[in-house]
Amino acid sequence: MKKIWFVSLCIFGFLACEKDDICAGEESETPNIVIDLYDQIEPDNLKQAVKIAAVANGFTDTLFFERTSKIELPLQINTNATDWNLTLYELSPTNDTIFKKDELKFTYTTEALYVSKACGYKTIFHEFNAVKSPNTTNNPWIQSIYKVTNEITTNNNAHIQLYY
Amino acid sequence: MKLQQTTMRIFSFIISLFCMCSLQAQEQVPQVYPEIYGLRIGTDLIKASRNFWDKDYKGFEISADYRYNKHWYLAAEAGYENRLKTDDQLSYTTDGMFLKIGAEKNFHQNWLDMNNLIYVGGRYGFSLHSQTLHSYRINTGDAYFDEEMQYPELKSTGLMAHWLEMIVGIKAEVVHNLYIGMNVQLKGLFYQKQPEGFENLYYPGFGQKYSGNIGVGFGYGISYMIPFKKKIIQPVKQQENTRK
Repeated sequence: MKKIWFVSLCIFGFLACEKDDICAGEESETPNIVIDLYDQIEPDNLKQAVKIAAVANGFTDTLFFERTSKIELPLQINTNATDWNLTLYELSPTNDTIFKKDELKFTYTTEALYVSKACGYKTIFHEFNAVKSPNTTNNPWIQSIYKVTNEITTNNNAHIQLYY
Repeated sequence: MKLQQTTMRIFSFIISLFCMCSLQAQEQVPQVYPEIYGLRIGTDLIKASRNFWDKDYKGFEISADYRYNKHWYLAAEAGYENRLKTDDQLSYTTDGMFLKIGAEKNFHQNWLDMNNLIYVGGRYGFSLHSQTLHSYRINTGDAYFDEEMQYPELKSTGLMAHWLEMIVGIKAEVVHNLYIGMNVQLKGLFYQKQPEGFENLYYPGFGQKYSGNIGVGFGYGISYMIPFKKKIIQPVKQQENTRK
């Protein structure tokens, strides 16, 4: 009987020192805007971009996406709008790089959602809307965009289809 | 002199723990020791001392047990806790009171006139508390936008929790009627009222919640017994040490 008590004492002791759970997994993170890139000539086909540079309005860091037909853009969580400047890198017939610029404007409302003690909170987005700014540069590349959903809750599916 | 006596008592208690199994019936002196019945009132020294060494904690616990019969004791604890916790992702304060009631069984066979306990028991615990979310950080996978800490100061009141608890411990009489005790508790929540948009992470009397609604606790208490009556037990006739 005494042995049992001693053993259970030890077990409780170890339990008390158990490490707090660790935050992991995409589901616990704030989702990004997922954009699938389609061919404007054959709208059923995804079209790979050689390189796209993305800079948010008012920020200086650049996100680069290379040889992909899917890009992911984060949204600011303490305002209701984020604008992204997207620069497409294209090779000209003479093998020079041509830069083509466009701007996408996202508006939304935010909701903070409790995840867990280790992860804290994540934000999901409601009433999501996306528009392409009227062409301000003389070298635009986006022909049109199509918004798939109003609710941004996960990264699993594309939220926008972009044709170029 | 007093200290020496105390030391002797503790020492003899420990000796009795290890030796009682091997004790053989010896020459019997027909001496009878009464069993003491009474109400023991105490406090948890860990909770009490934490007020001094942890600036984020305020709290206390009053405990009581009453001897029901030879082996069984009715026991209860009540108290108050206020605790601020700052984690990487969030910080919050839990504030409220708790009550635990239950019973415990003494498995220790006392030697001579000693009155010590090694016990196993159970409790039903209940807490009534509030939880205030002071700050949190939004978990974004990438760090493109520097996300600032949010400070909502969101207070959720009227929260509660119910749990069952298993307790194992010892109580040793160090001075006449004064006891020092240690115990460990294993607890399981079975009902709780959660704050909206958040989670109960700490409960008064229960402590921190681990995955699977499990909690653990450790107590180090001091208590005083108010004796009510003494019961004289007729000694069982010792059998002769027969050997074949």
